[in-house]
Amino acid sequence: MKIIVFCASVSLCCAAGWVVRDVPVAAQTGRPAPIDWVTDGNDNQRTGWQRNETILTKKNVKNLKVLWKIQTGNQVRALHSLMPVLIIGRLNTSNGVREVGIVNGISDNLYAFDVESGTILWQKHWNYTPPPGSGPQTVSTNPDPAHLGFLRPGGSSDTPVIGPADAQGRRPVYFVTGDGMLHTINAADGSDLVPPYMFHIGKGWSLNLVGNVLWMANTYAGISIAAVRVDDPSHKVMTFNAGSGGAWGRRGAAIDSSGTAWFTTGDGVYDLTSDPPRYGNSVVGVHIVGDELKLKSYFTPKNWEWLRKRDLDPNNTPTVFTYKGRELIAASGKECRMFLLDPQSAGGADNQTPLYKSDLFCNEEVDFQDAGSWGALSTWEDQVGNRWILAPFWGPVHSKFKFEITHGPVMAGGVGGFRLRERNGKYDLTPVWVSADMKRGEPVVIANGMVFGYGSGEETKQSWPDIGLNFDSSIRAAKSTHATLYVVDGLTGDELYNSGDQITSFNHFNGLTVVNGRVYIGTYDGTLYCFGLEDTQRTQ
Amino acid sequence: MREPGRPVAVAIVLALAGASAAHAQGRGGSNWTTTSSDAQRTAWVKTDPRISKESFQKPGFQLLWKNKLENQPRQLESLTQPMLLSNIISYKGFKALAFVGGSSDNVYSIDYDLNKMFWKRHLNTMPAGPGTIACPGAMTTITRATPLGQTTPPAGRGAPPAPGGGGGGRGGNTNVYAISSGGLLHTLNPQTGDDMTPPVKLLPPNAKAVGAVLIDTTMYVATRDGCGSTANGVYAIDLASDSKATTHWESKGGSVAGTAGVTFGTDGNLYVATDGGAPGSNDANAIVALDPKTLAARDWFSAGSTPFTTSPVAFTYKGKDLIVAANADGRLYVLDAASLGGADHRTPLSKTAPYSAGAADFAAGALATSENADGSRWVFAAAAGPPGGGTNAGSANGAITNGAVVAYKLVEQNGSLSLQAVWTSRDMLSPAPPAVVNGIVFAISTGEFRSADVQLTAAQRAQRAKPAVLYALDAATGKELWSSGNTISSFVRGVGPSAGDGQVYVVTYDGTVYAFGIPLEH
Repeated sequence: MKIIVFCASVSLCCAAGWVVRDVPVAAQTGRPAPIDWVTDGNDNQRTGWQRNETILTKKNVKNLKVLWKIQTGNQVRALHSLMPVLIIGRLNTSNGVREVGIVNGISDNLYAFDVESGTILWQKHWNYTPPPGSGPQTVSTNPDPAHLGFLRPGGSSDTPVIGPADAQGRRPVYFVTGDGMLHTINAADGSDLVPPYMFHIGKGWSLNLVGNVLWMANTYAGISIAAVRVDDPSHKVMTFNAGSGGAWGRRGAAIDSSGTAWFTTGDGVYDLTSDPPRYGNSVVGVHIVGDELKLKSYFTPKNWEWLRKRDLDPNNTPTVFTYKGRELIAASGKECRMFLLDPQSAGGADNQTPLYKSDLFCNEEVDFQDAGSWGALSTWEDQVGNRWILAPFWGPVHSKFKFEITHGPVMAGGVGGFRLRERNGKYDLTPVWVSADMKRGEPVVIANGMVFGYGSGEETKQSWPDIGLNFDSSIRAAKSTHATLYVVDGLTGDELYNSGDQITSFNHFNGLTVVNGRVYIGTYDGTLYCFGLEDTQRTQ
Repeated sequence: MREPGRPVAVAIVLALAGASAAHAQGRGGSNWTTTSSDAQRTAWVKTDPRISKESFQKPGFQLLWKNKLENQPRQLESLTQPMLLSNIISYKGFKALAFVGGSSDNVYSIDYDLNKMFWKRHLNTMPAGPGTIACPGAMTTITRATPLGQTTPPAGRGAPPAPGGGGGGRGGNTNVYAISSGGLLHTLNPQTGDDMTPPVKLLPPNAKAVGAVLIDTTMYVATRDGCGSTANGVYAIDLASDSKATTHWESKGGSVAGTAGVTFGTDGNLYVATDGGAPGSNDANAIVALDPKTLAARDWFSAGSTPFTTSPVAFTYKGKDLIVAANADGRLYVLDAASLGGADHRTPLSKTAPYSAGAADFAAGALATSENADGSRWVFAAAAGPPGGGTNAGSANGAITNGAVVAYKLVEQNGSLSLQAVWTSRDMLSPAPPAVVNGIVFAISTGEFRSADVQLTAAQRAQRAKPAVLYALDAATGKELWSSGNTISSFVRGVGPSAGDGQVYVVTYDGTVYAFGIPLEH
């Protein structure tokens, strides 16, 4: 089996102790054998970096097309529909070895599909009665779940995670349904590998599996994050409550090399005098001590009162990476600054001093709904060792913030590319490029030097002059347009591809998956799109 | 994203601990919704996240911003007292807004944390005539919906929208109400300044409207000085009614006294003070109680030959509903709302010794009142000239030649209630009605030139005026804690400060809004 030697950055990652998959090449076809994408953001550091892409190149990506699309039939709840796709490159199924995708729908649906044919292999649906007080946010007399409040849709909002093969070669899919039950599903056929058991209810975000520990950041749950050892027969659930504001990062937690789970807390207060202490508007790291979750470190911005007053919490998932031998965290949020933090002491001696804080790069309007950085940051390292941080954002670029390379006025959102610099132990971020305008820039994936992003097309307002504040999700859905996939050069932000109007619906809190030459995106209407290249176009 | 459960938490905190207990925790603050803060015209902000005696122990209180609005003064009228909406979830996000009326029929909405204009609106109305100082033909009052009790923040995100829909970003009625110089009542969308409904006729053109206040769905406003051929008195209109008919109480020759117009007593009645009137009339130089529905007079107290100079202020003390107002005789009158003047309508519960020798063309305008943690009740009054002869004005904070703020404490002796002077402030020139914020009295030495010479034009008076100065005083002692020095460059035309959410606002004749406070890191 041939091993492709990747770039210098791969060896740096290996030196840092990160798992980098070798890239086998199928002997008969000459194409690389398909690899996995087992968790949201591709790894537990939530880098969004797909290091092993070789099929899609800057040269041929302009030929992307919709290879297939599947209408899953998932029932929308509030604005949620499908979550990001997971991929198992080679899975033994009853029909032989297949490249299989897994995607969940908000209405407690789990789908497995055959990547090549774009057909559903199996699907499961769970029914349950929500425990009292844990149901969705009902804001309308209309019983259609599309009218539910968008803050609290109920259902299965978490993106599953796929574990390694067991002794029988079975791949477990860990998935939490809206009743808080953890399901361990055989990816090959949808059967239970382990009887389901209670994990935690709430609005769960993307799951992490680190060794034998399953993590789920959460909100509307009374806690911020929960963890369980999947091989613990007692199923002891460990929790940590940051005391204020739920965790809102879409990719859930980012795990550093020490096993500390980092997440951002939403709108809330910072009050160490309360019992338990409250860490609202913060970046919080917790780790396992014995069989409990304990606070490891945290960073609370000094202007947290202002952030709370205007609902500008750091609501996206941070990303963890190593730069010149030092592990760092990058974080952002609705306020629209970039922060660099030291995972050893995220906020320094006073817990309020980051390694670096940028000026505001967007959200000049101070608007919690149509502006700011949402979802998750991403990071990658280019071929010459430059470390990049990529921030999706909504709304215009701040008028006083300058990127070196621009691509026309940005009004509705986009992606900012920042290059990390270290001088005498001090870190900063150079704003190198900003993409062209996107209707609500969403978390990106980096593959083969390209940045894959999308504008969700979502109407993100929660209040309107004529109707005031209204949480009925159907209002926003009716005002939304459609998602658009963009591919830009990772060094310049130059556009290499956009999907135009091929995607006909918008999406809410979704995410991209880019692996084995294919790009996956789901939409509000329950459609899963697969973009890729025709065989003949791969060399063009 | 929003912290779950907060609306419930806020409701519980409010129920247990009063209006502003939760505000120190962050979002929003108390709302100054009408002239003198609330329907009782207390000019009192009970708690505040940043203003306190403790915070004044160290430097930090300062000018935060100023904003010169493009408003043309009419005679001496310029800007109204800013009304506050500490938190609205608008189509552009969470906003903290100060609404200011401009005499030339302008309404401004300023994000008060950022000094950023959110919207401005010019009300189309008939062209203004030249006017006079007394009758400037100007827009003189705006308001927000005001609860009968002290103002409380509206419900949280997810609360039901305002009755009638639209506009409101956070539940409750967050609309802005403005009465144009043409007498039209506008209901403005707080998010945009657009009319929510067609304007309704409330007053004749060029009436001098004072102290508009919206209680539930009824707008009350007083008129004074007989401007625009309008009978002085009180007008009310139920905006929820189909007919939009106006109810009216006429003061029969007198004028309505004070800058805050009508006052809602803690007993539910409406109180108005008068300045002059037909001799022998019940309404002359009187405090009159009105039925809030019909505006029919229910009771009155007459001070005799001397007019009242302030709007009444209302509060409860040991179960009694009390009314206090200042009179041109230099005294404060304490009245029992249950029987304003006793059987003869001329007997107050008590009256103070004259606190002021008075000065030409000066009227105190409005009072302020607050309650200390120990339950003691205080009343604060602006006074012109040196202290009145023979007055025991309590401890002094320097010689007074021009005027001062005088602080009284309500005391009970042998079963009778009276106000006892505790302190007088430093000297101030034509002080405006003060405001009390969490134990701090904010008073403005307005610098306004006062004269009984009716020949002096507005321009001549403006030219002779001096810049205003804002003072922060310890409410217990009157000790000066801070002053704005020469920060303010114009005078103030009788408009007291408004305050809330850590900031204090002063509006000047030249159309500038000043915001003072302790900076919040952004």
